[in-house]
Amino acid sequence: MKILVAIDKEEYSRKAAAKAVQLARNTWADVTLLGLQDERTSKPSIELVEEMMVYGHLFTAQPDSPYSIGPFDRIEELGPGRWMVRFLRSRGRKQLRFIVRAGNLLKQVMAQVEEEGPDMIILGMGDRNEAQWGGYPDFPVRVAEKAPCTVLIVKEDKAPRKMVCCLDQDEISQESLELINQFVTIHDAELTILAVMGGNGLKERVEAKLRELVRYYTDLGIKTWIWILEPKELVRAVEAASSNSIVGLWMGKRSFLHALFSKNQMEELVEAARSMVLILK
Amino acid sequence: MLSSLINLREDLKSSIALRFADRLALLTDMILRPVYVEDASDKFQSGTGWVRRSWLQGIEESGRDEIARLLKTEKVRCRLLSPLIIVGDPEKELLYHLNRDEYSLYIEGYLNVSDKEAFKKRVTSKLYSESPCPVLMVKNITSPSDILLLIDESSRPERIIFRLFTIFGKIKDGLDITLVRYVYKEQDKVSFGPMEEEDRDALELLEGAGYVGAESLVVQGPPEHVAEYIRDHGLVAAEMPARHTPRMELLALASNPLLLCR
Repeated sequence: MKILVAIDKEEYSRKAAAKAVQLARNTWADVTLLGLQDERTSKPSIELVEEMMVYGHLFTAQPDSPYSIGPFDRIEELGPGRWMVRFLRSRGRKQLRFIVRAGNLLKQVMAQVEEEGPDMIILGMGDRNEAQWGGYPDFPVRVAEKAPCTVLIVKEDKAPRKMVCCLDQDEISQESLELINQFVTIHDAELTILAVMGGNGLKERVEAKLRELVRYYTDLGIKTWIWILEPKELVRAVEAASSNSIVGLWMGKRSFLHALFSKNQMEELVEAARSMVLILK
Repeated sequence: MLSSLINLREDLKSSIALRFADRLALLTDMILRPVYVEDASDKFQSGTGWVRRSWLQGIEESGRDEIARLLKTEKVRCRLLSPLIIVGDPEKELLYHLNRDEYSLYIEGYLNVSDKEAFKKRVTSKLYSESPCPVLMVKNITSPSDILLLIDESSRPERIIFRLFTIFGKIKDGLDITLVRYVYKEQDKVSFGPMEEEDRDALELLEGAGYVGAESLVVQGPPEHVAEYIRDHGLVAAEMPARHTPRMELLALASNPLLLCR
């Protein structure tokens, strides 16, 4: 698995990095810490690099960590507005890279996604009244919309012991099932699956998928609840759940959650969430 | 040994019902009889003789195959009797078998939908209102040893306690029982009231039946908030609701499996 952690110098990025450490250790993922600075300069911000190194040491802190960082070597320019922080003698079993990009935040993240094809992007989000992402508070939601992979938006790193996932179609990757398993296991949470009814009740394929999900998670010993909703009830149910649960939305190509959750509603949902929102693709 | 009739098809609600029933059966040393019901009430077969026999045979075979596939997929561990295949009016036929064979429990799955009217229709159906034994309506898979006895001002707790004793009677340790008196109150959250005298009597009855250490609460609030509050319990035992009351609404909104007693 490959995880891309988008960070800046703010406190919410520390929470995102802490969450990334938990997930990476459990999944043995290759990790790229992507420091983002919105001003285009000839050098990366030293403050940002220092912050990234602090986060990097979170990954290497445990004695059995598969990640390793040797002494700082140099900052290598990869191209205009792109740098890699190099270390001496880094011999971890899993990759831990430090990249800095400068420029339009969304474009830089998407460019990095294009380059390395991560399975998941993790980034933090503060409260609306906080200065964040260089004055671009909707940045995490925009990333979630545009990225072809799963995106985790972290608001608090202490997760509640509930996870609520929305399902309206049967195209669910095995990776997303396992990711949910990871979240539930790490946080010792119970899982609620909200399934959306079609015009004539639950679609046969969605019902079959739900059976599979119930079996999969129950066999793993995860307490799993099913709740079937009309489309008009879903948004309210998710908003209500977001105050005390991790929210997961399966938003594959065939999902009509894109239609149910307008841009504004997605922003409001993420803003209302107290913990984390996981957009699964 | 107790035996239960469990209504099964190869679908989601049956998967949920079967998995919960498996846990209950292992806990209570119960044996399950799967039943497959083909609703033929609107499929009047005018054929006679071998045409009708072939049709019935086809349904019997496909019913057995469906149940066999379900049992194989769900990997239950409890004891099972051979499936019963029924063709006809489901409610009439099920009631006939429940009465004739004196089952201790009728079990079926129910998808946890937010449609309160659909729930009301089901619990006031002929099957539910005339069932000779309690009905276990399984909405989700939980642990059946954590039981909440739900009562309100119109309930007779002794009836529920008697039914509980019939099903769980041999087990004294390992059951967590909480008596909850529900009082409807229009407010933003759940609150708690003082215990009523009748609840002390109910606790004594539970103790007399061997269920020592049961707790009692008076929970006040609107049904949707109280449904969320009671969610952590594995099984809610209540009297069969006969009319639209706040307790019926609470049961409709509850995500827990429901043991409905008459």
